[in-house]
Amino acid sequence: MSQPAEAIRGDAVRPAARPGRWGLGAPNYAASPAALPTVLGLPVLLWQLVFFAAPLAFLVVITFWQVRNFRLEPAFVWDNWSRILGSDTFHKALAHTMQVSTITTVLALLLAVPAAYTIAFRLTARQRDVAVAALVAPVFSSYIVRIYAWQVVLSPQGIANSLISAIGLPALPLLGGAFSLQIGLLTLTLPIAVLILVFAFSGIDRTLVEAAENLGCTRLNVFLHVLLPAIRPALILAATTTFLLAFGDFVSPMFMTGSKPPTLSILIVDTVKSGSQWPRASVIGVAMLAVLAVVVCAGRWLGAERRPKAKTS
Amino acid sequence: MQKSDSNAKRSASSTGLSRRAVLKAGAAATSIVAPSLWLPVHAADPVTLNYLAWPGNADPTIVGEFEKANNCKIRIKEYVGGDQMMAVVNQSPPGTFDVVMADAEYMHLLKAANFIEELNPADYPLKDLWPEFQKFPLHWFDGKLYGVILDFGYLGISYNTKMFTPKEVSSYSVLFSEKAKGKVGFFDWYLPSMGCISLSNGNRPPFDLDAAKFDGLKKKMFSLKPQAAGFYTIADIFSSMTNGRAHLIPGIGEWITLGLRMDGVPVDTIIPDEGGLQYTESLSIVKGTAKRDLARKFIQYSLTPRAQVAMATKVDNRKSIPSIPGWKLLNETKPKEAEILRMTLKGPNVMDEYKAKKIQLRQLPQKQSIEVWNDAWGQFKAL
Amino acid sequence: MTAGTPPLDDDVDMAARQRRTRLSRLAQYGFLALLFAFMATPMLVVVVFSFDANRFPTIPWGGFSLKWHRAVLEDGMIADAFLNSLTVGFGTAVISTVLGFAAAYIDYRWRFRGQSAFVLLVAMPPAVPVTILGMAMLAFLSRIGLFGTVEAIMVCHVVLATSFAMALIRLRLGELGPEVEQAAWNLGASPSVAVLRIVVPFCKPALIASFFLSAAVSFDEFMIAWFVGGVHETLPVRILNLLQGQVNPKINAIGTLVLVVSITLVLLAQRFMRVRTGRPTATA
Repeated sequence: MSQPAEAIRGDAVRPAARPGRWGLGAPNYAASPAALPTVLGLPVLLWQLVFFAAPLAFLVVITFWQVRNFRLEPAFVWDNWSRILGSDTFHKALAHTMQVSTITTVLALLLAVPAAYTIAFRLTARQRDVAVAALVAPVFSSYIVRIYAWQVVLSPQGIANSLISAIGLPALPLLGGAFSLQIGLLTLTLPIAVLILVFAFSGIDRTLVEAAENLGCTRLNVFLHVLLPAIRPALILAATTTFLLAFGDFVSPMFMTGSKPPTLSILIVDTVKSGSQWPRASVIGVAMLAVLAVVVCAGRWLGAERRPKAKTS
Repeated sequence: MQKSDSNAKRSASSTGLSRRAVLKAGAAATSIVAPSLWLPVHAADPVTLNYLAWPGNADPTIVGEFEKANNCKIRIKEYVGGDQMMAVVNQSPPGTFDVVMADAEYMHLLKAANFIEELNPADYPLKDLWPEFQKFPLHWFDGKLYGVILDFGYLGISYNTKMFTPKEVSSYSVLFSEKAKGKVGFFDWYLPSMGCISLSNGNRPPFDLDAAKFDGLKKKMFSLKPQAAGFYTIADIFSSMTNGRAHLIPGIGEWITLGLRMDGVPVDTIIPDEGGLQYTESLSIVKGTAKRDLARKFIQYSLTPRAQVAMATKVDNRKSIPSIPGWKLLNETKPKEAEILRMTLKGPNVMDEYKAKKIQLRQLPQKQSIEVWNDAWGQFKAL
Repeated sequence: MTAGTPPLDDDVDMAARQRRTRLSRLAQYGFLALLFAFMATPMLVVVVFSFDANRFPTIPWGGFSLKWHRAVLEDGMIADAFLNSLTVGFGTAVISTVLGFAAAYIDYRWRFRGQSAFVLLVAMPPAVPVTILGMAMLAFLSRIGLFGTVEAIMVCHVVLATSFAMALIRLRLGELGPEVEQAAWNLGASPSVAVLRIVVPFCKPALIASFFLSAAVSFDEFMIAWFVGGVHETLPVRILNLLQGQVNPKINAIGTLVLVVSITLVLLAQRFMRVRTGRPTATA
């Protein structure tokens, strides 16, 4: 009984989930009958395999199929790949989507870090709870409707311009360009970025901060040299999440800029809506996944490169 | 601390636990059964007529009377653009839909996909229609009738009357003017948009182009890019004309501007000198339907004067109607509306443009595939 | 400080530093306020303009009116969509919570080969752009004949929501010391009984939070539902179709309704999971 107990004890004493440290060493099964893990594990595993992994695998398969008369037919052709990868429209959409997502990521981090710092360190516990609740709420409440609302605010005769002309300035073209697009994407990504960083800042060992201050660091130095390095993984996570969300978004580009120019997700929807070109849309989808995989890997590499100087565990 | 917590919880919930387990199981079972609870079980429940159509066509003001009279419910599946319709058609198993509203130029595709049934002309009041519509060519194949015209409308340039005078917009060249830079919106569907640009290039008919003319069309379209404000969904067309994001939109018509104008927005539609397009919406019975009689009744109902008037006076997306008794009823009961809709019996009305040969029927591309035109549109968007 | 003596250098420094601190604090609070204003603006606009008598939300305000809310309540398609959303949401919440608990517990309790692959499989769905996910699920489900049903939407939403449920429950499980279960085993409980009677009650807050969060995820999800649902629309799909198909002043009223429901669900979830802040990471 001691061996499995040790395994479990070792498991639970470890700090909060950090993937990559498990799965090492010899398989170590609990002495309890295998019935329990099977009963628990099989449904989840099967569900994810059938309804998540299989569709994605099928997507790759479809990229080789053909569409005749609006109907999907099994085949094996490279035509879809060559057509999409060689198409100018795709290249432009890819470049545009990458550029836009990168800008959003940078903006989101610039805005989220100071905000998260303030929430984690400068608010009372009660205020912090309220702030977190206020951040979590938008994440799950009808993104489309909120983007539609931004149209009302930013349009040439909308709320913002009414205020601007009320003070005598000429109306600004706020809607339809990069500005409104970033506002839309930040609406999507900023709450999540701030939340991630708030949790990260909150988990920092306060004694480290005290030690640094006792050693004569100004608050700014504490921030730059103790706090930021300590939350490096969270910064990477926030950046990756923001990039992922902005890269795959279709609502903001469509409603804020009128698909001018289209992003990759809009391209997918367009390809599907006109002529049901599933294979071509799947090619775009697989290409997007490839790009995202590269970005995520780059993020993990950046995060794992150096051990954080201020150890927090 | 955690141990005492869990101890306390354990004693508190030892009975609650079994209750919880039962609740969980019950909830799981209910969630699986629940959807089927919503399916009509009794014969007295209304029959559902599944309708594939453009948005807004199952409005109670139009179909309410039919639903009540026949104890049925119209369930609509909306599509935007004929290509989307074809996609849905080809992916749905037979029996999914009972009635389909299609743009007339897609009829032959529907017939080729074996999606629609032959209709009996005697069932429908075709003689009540304006003579131009009585034997509408796109509805007949091999002398057999496959669709009945429901409504129609013209497409030209919709414009903001405060920014442009009617004289200025009397030609499509206004789209290229300096004044219109960054203010030309587009309906994100290649067919009407490219059709109007084709007209502006002098192509009559606009969809029957040889390779050289098609290249010319592409060039002209791409040259419009600096003028473009965006590519809009239908809702965004309404809002962009209202909030000033776009001042000109080609390829749409009174189905957008009439409702807006009646709400006080300064917009109007004009058919430019180069000509305009006509869209025609038609009803057909879907092959494989189990409710053929009900579907037939629905089409008949849609051509009655009352239904036609309802169609013409819908709050958004107003259409022109082809039924002469419908016009008469409209003029009797809503003379003011008849005037705004330009469907008065005396004086100039919508049929005039048709008679003056300014209108070209909107068609599918004749010499190139839909894909080629669509790709060109995609290229234009991405420029 | 006694009156009459000149201020010491240290005191001057301190005063200056205090002033700087106060300014920077002010700036921080101000920045935070701006941020929350940014996030609140669209929601406020939706709610405020849902009472606008005008058909199109423009300035100036057209007068207060309840007619759009009334229209929403009377609209049959919206009612259907709302019912579908409720059904799908409830089903998703139940199944995701169960599956999420299973996944979290397995991850917590055992070490095995392929563990990180397993966790990744459950955690990955939200990372895939919904357009791609929706398209893949549609193609796959229509191939196996499940396309176009409410159940199909629910099944796909579970894939998404289980990830969140697992994360939440795993967080809570991280606070459960292994001694508790061991004590139960030592006292003669079988592992399954230990799970049911010890672990599950301990995780109750996380389970409830997962329930509401999964419901919120499902309630707000429109892309997958749009692809997979066929004739059956959930409420967000109805909104998406309205926004694509026609102008409709009801949108703001529906939006208000959706906001209220979503925020309620999220706040309920919140109530059961608190943020622990300021604690050293070494568990007490």
